This record gives sequence, C-alpha cells and structure tokens, in this order.
Amino acid sequence: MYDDYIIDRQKDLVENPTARLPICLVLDISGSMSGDPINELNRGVQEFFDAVLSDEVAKYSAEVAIVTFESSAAVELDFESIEKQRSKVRTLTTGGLTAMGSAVNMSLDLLERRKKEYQDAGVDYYQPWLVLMTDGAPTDEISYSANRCADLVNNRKLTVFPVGIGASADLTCLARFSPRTTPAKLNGVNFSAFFAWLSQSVSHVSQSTPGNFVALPPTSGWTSI
Amino acid sequence: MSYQCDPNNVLLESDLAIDHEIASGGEGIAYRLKSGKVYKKYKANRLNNQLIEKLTYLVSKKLNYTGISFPEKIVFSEDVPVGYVMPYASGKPMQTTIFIPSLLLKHFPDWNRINLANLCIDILDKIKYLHDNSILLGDINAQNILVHSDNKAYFVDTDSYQIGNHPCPVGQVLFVAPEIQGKNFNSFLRTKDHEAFAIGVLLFMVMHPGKHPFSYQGGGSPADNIKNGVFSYPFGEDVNYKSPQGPWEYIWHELPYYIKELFYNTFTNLKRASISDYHYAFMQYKEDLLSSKYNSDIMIMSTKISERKVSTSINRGGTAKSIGLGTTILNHKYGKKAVLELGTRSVKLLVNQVESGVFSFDNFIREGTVTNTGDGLDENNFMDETYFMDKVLPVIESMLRKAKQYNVGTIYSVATAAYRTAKNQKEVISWLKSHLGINVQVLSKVDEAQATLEAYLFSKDYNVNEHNNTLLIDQGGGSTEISLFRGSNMIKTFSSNIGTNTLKNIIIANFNASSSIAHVLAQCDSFARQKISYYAREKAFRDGVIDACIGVGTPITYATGKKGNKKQHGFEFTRRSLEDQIMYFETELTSQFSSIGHLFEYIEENMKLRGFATESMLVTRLGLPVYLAIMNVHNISTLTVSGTGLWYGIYAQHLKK
Repeated sequence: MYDDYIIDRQKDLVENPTARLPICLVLDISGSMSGDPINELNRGVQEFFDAVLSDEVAKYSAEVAIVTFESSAAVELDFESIEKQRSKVRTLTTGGLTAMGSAVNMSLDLLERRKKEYQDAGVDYYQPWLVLMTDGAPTDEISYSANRCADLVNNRKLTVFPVGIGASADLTCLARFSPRTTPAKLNGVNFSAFFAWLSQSVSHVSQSTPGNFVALPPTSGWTSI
Repeated sequence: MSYQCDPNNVLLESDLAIDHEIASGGEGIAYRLKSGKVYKKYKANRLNNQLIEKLTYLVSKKLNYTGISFPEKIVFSEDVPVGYVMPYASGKPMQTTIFIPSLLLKHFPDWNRINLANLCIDILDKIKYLHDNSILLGDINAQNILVHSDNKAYFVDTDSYQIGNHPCPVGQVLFVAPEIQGKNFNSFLRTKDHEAFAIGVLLFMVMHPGKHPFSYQGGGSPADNIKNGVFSYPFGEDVNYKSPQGPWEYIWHELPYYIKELFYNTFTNLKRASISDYHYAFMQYKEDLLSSKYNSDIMIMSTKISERKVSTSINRGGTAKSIGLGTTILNHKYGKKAVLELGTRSVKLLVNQVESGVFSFDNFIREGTVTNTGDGLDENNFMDETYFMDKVLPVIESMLRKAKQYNVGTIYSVATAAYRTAKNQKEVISWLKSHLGINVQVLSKVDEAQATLEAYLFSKDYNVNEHNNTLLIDQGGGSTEISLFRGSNMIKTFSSNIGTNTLKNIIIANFNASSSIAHVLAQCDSFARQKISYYAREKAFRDGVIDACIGVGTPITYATGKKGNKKQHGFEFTRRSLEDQIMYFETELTSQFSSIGHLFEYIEENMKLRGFATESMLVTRLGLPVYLAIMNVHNISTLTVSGTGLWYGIYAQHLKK
C-alpha cells in the first residue's frame, strides 16, 4: 500500500514535464484562531485548491504542502500532484499556542526535500514560495528559523508572503522571516480574497519560465491599510 | 507627431466593427472583428516609436502566409496609431496543447508520432518562409505558436519579430542560446545561429512533449542548465547517465539516428542544425513511421536493458609504452612456454607443445574463456573489484592450473584495453600478483598492434616485401586497432574506440529493453560508421595502395563459420561476402528474438551454454560492419583472416628461441 503510494508519487513527479512551483502554506491554528477566522481560513484554502485546479497550466505546475502550528508544528499535507491532493485537504481545527519557529523550520525542510527530489529526477522548478499566516506572536524560539528563512530569501532561493491576521498579529516578528517583502495585514477575515490573489499569482508564474521575472497582481484586494 | 504610412495600409478605429473580446494581457487587448479578422489594441504606453516603425515596415512588406498572423493594417485613433489588424489565428498555445502530455492526449487523442512529425514540418515551413524574407522570430516560445491541427500551426505575436534593424525585444529563458542568456534583447540583433538553438529546443520539446532538452538529474535552474551545456541524453559512446527520470530517455532511445544526431550536435554546440537539416530529417522520420520502422507511440514506456552503468569508452587513456614485465616462472623444472592473454572480452592461454623452426598450429594448445572483463569497468572506467574477483580472477586461476598441467615452466602474461583503460590499473595488476603470483604486462596500443602483425607474419612465414603495404584490422573487446605496415615496419596506427564489448555497452546505454533489434543494429552501424569516418580523414593511411588486408578478432574469425584458429586462418572475405554475413547474422538474431532486451536476457541467462553462441552472433553482427567500413575507405577487395591473434605474436616476440 505504502509502496504503491511512493511509486505513484514518483510517477507523477517524473511524467509531468512542467516546471514546478512548490508552495508551502504555513498556517496558524492556535486557539485564538477559533470561530470566524478558522472557518474563513478553511474556506479560503478550499477555494485556493479549486482555483488552481481550474487553471489548465497552474494545476500541472503548482505543488502545495500545508504545515500548521499551534503548541507544536505538524505536516498537514505533503507535496504531491495537486489533483491527488484535492480530496485530502481536511478541515483545520484550532487549539494551543503558537509554535511558529518550529513550523517554519519544518516547512523549509519540506521545501528543501522537495527541491532535492526535483533535482534528483531532473524536473525543472521555480524557487519555492512560503506563505506564513498568523494572528499572534510566536511562543517558541524563532531566531534560527527566521535567519534560515531570511538567508534563503536574500539568496533568491525563496519567496516569502507574510500575512498578519487581526489586530494582535505581530508584524515586526513576521518581518524577521521576510527581508524583501513587508508583511501585509489581511483585511478582516477575508481569506478568500487572499487565496484568490495567491492562485492568480500562481497562474502568472506557471505561465512564465523559471528564472524570468514575473510581476504579481496587486495585493490591494485583500490587504488592509 | 505624424506618421508616414501608406493610406492604403491604414484603418480608423472608428470604422472597425468589433464583435467580441478574445483576450487581454499585459500588452493590450485582442478583439475579433465582424469581418473575421483580429484587432490588437495596445495599452496606452506600449506602442512606442520603435514598434510603430516596425509595424509600418511589416505592413508595407505585404507578407502573406497562411498561419502567420502578420499585421495587415495599422489602426489609428484620430491621428495616433493604436494597434493593428491581422488575420485570425485558431487553436491553442503549444504550451497547453503539446507541452503537457495529459492535455496533448485530451486535445488530440488520436495523435501519434506521425502527427508530431507533421507539426514539426509545418512549423519549419513557416519559419523557413520568415527566414526567406529576412525575418527572425527571435522570441520563439510555446505561447506564441497556436496549434489547431497537425498541419495547421498559427504564429501569433508577430509584432515582436526581428525584422530589418528592429530587434526582437523579448525572449523566454528556455529558448535562449547559452551565449545570449541574460542579455538585454533590445540591445542587439539576434543571428540565425541563435534562432537555430531556439528551433532545436522547440522541436525537441515536441518530440519529448514538454520536456526541455537541458533538464537533467542534478541540474539547476533552466538558465544555468543551458549555460552549463550539459546535454544528458546518450549518443553513441557519449553517455553521462544523467538524463531525467521518466519516459523521456525511453522516447529518445526510439528516435532515429538522423534526428538524434541533429539534436546532439545542436545541444552540444558541435553544429546547430539548420532548418533544412531538420526539414529533411522530419520528412524522413514521417516516411519511416508510416512504414512502421520506428515506434510511433507518443509516450514510450519501457525498462532498461541493464541497470548497470556501463563504460562506453573502454579504450581511453593508456600510456605510449607498455607497463611492467610479463614473465613469470611457474616451475623451474619445466621447459614449456605459454602466453596468457588477458583481454577485454576473454582470457586465453597458448601453450607451445613442440618447439620447431617452422610454424604449425599443431605445435600449440589453445584454451579460452569469455569473461567480458570490460564489463567490470564502471561508467568512470574503474574496474569493479567484486566483478573482477567473481568473474575474471577464477578464470585466470583455472588457466594457470591448466598451464601447470601442461608442464609449462615459463608463462608470459599480457593485458589489453580493459586493463589499459582501468583508472585503478595498478591495483588490478596487484590483485593478480597477490592472488595468483603472476607478473602482467599491460600492453600499449602500439605494442599490441606490432605483436599482432608479428603473429601473422610468424604464422604465414612469408617473405615480407619491403615495399608492400599491409593493413591490419584487429577488433578486440575495447577497440578496433587499424595499423599500416610497410614490410614489417609499422608506419602508423589508428585506434578507434569501437570494440565488441564497447558496442554491446553502447547498446545498453542507448536503447530500451523493448527496442527492436533492427532499430538497434541500424543505429549501432551508424555510430560505427561515424567513428570510421574519423579514420578516413587520417592522411597517413591514404598514401599508396593497400597490398594486403588482414583481419583479426572475434567477429571476423567467427564469421568464417569455421571452428578453430587453424581452419579460420587464411580465410578470405570479399566486401560482398562480408555483407552477406552481416545480413545472415542479423536475420538469425531478429528471427529468434523479439526485442534487444529479450536477446540480452537470453545471453545473460544462458552464457554457459547456447547463450555463448548467441553472444558471438551478436558481437559478430555488430563488429563486421566496422571491417567493411574500413575496406570501403580503401576500396579493398579482399580481406584475409588471421587465426593467429595477439597471443602468437607475444609468443614470437618473447618466448620463441
């Protein structure tokens, strides 16, 4: 059974010639996210998958992993062809603290491993994206993961999209992960708008060539000033 | 500012009857007009003077070719140009029709490789028309060619073409030649050679739907891969085992030699193929596909012939002089002498029974076992210790036991190509010393050729005419050595990297288990001919007529159909009879085996019994065209087989009284 999964995953990897865009969603599901925020986040994630899947090019290019964090970090969804993932996207539930540092670390490990898989197989790829969303401040140590993340961004090996949710989101802290892009603040709980923008961005990039500069659509639809 | 435009080439925007919007993008919006034509309206800041000049020029040239959406009229609003009108292009971009296999299957479920060849030909025709009109596409990519059907591609975005002194300002990394990667495309004019690279990439990506030629295992970004120039698909002996995982290499393996060669030359920067080269090749491919000569499936799945990464250059390196001394005293009490030949393909023992001034085969005892020692070399030409200890050393040990049984006192041991090439040669020789106690001389190529001629002269016992030119062709496991002698003096020797083991390894690296034997053999012949064409350019071999041609080696002796060196010796082949033999062995192999994988599997499993005969048939079929090609170079009518190989020469040189 597990062997079948591995063979299938490998088959998808090597038989699709499209350059891949690995995206890791690093999502805060701590206790404070309960209620509207988590419901809207769940809806946004589902819509994101649907939007990418409806795009003929993007669905062969985008690969998504989800890492969630509360008192600890966990891999919610590992990289795979997005068509196979659709049915595996579960509803997220909340509880606990905000282990952002270990979540980012875990995400970077996942991205690194996926990149290695691309290289080993001879699959072209775009430098990965990391979407970091939180409504609070980290409750674990972030120095190591923030530096690691910032180094990758500075070397143009990673693009980070830091997003703060609500009034208590610590944007200064988010900024430590993102030396190039200033953290943005989500307009209320309009996750839908954010994920629509993200899927459009994926669409733009997947139509480009790895290494070519791509301008992303304006963020005005989901940010609050 | 006013614009110089022929009034006949101008339309007013207010006169256009727009039907609906087709698409919008960064540059502007495209509308379908009620007339059926398309109107491209630029965004306000996009239509600069340079572009207006280019459009005016394009329109004035009145170019007309079905499937290329040239601007026909410039559209003005008031007295300012805002866009142009062009013919309608139907179909979807190659990116989403051809370059994603599942979408290719969805859009064109009935297609096979004949359709892909048609599409290539159609695209080449259009590019040729443009080039004939001094236009380069510049930014060739999978978005600006639409595919309607296999004989109807539409070229759009013609306003970016390079025409006259107007550069093409854009380019997609994947299609940009290494020497202009990262340059500002607005700052220079591209050349046909730059375009040839882009055309090569496009055609490769049609043949391997969507896979870029420079993706490889361990690669980096596409730009880096192109700049580094690592082309990972095998071509003959050029093998790096880095081609991407998945169906791509299987597809490559089933392409004909004449297409692989164009891609290989283009992507290794030997010579970028021209449009007419490609056109000719794809017309031929189409014809060959129609007659079922090649696999016409678009996505090809197979297995490898062998998982081993084998060496395809067994004859590399080596020193000018032979290394080490070959004499070992086995027993002081005995006077008999023997030669131990450690070859790339086999281990052989020649024992002199009767010492006599006159040569006779009956004076010798011969023993031989096929070890395929050359197969123990890995892709970096290191001899694998386990392979050597398991497959080779025990055979040598048993040969030495036999020598002792024959009361051999002195044995002279020589080693050839596989040992000459092994990067860990010293270590290999030390294994022989420590395990078996023998000294082994690793022969240089020149000494090997000299000894081989000596063997022939020794056995023939004929008077060498000082002025006679003798050409000696010796195909061993690792190489074919071609030597020219005047009398018994060597004038020149040429070593070609095609031996019987090399050819087998080239098969392992270049084909699928499912490849048809006819396809494999035809392509191996092409590789061999290519190699011999290097020989044909050697001036030193072209002086004077060849008076005699002597053939040595497994293929030529096996092809005599005679058993034993004595009967093989002196057998004569004409070019015609060699051709017949090539045909004979090919028919034998193709009638018995359904695929090359099937054949290799049979040999592997039955090596001790009938598999050995089959393997001999294979190496003979592979090797004979090399002899024939060399005969053709010199127009030689007769080749005489020598049953006395290297070992007799070593005997004559070192042991004969």
